[in-house]
Amino acid sequence: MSRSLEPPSDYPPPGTEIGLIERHVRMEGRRILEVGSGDGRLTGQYARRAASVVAIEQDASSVALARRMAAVEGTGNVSFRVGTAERVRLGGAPFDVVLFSWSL
Amino acid sequence: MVHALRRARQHLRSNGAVVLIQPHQYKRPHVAIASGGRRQPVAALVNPVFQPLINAANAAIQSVVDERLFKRTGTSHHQFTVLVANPTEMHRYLHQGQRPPRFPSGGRQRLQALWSARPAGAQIEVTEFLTVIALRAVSRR
Repeated sequence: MSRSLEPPSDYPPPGTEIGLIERHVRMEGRRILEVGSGDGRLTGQYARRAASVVAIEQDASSVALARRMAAVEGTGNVSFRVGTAERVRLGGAPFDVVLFSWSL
Repeated sequence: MVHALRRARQHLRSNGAVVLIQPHQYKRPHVAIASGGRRQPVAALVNPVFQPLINAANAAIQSVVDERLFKRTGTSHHQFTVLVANPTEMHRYLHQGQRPPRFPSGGRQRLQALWSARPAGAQIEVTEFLTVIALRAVSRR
């Protein structure tokens, strides 16, 4: 009998959060800033429909994992940055949407 | 978090939106034994370490609303369930985060007792609660 090495995720099933976010804002074609992006779990779910994404996470190892996953998935419109929302330098056009995903 | 919200406002276009997904302010995970459409409640978990953080997050949101940087445009509460195979996996499930919840007094013993007497095919059902808060940037004058 096979047994999973990982316990089930304690995050909502894939797609759930995006559906809930889109009850409030449209993400299609938008420039999005995600604060507390972790390993890019949520970023990967919406990035393709966004125009561009800047994803900020203070844990460097999580950002490295997120970058690898984005490369595997061919998501080219995301810039993953290590740091905090208060300190990361953010240039370019203003954002349409800022997401704080589980970033207490 | 209030500083992060203020910074977010600086980089939002006029009429831009902030959406926050976070745990429910008061509802912590509920645990039950589930089998064949039947549920036996076990306990609502507690997390005294975590509670001040969620309170602070909500206070930060209220601060930026009071400062007229944002206005609230929506708040909604949701839940989802996760099925775990047994108490060992339950322990691993709960300890994925940095500040795991714990059983209240007597809760773990109740889980063990109900699990020992479980019907065939039973699993442990964890119901998690979350809140989505939407803010809209207030135009600068």
